Amino acid sequence: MKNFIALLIFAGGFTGWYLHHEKNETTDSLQQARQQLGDIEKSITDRRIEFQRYSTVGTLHKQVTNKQEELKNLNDKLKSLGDQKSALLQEQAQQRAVLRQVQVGKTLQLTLLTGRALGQVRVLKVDDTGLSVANANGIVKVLPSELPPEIKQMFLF
Amino acid sequence: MKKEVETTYAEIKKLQEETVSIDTQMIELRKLLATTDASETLIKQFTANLANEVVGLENKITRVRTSLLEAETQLATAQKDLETLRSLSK
Repeated sequence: MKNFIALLIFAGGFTGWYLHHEKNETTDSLQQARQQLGDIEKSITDRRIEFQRYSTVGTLHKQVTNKQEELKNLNDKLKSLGDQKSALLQEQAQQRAVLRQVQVGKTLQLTLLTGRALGQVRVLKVDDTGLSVANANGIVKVLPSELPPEIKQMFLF
Repeated sequence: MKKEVETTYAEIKKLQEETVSIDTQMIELRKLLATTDASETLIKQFTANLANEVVGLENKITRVRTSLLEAETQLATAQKDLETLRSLSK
């Protein structure tokens, strides 16, 4: 019986010591963890601010790169359209020259917008600068702006 | 109390991971600036310059888009005129 009681006292004492020891260890551990957490939080706050600044730079840099690429593509497209237009205008000029050439040698009555009557004229030459015509008085150069609308249209001015 | 310790350590781990992530991303971001030790003023100035550049590029893009629309219209007109000339020569 005595031994049993002694054992109980010993067990109780041991358990008490163990629990006390555990509590102290956990308290120390918690204190250390809190200290560490505090340090990290302080350090990460500065890093977050710095990262935010650099992040903005990164985002803007990406936007600049994307927009430069977009601009380049648009300029390429614009140049391509310009080239297509030049080709079309060149073909138009060729077509116009062929159609005007058909009129060379023909005769017509011509009175200019200024009121000057050239009478019966023969078309000698047609180009973008105007008509060269021959009448009884000689050769006359007529500017497109001097031609009446129907003649202007006939010679594709 | 033990649970509180575990929670605190879990939070520490989370913050450590965030730190690593930030450091990794910062390596690339720092390359954007000429210097690796950029001051706050320098970064702000660089940011402002970039923002201005974005605005400038947007304006240029708008202008080119307008020119594109005009060019497309002119091209369509030129094509139509050419068709008319072709039909006249037939």
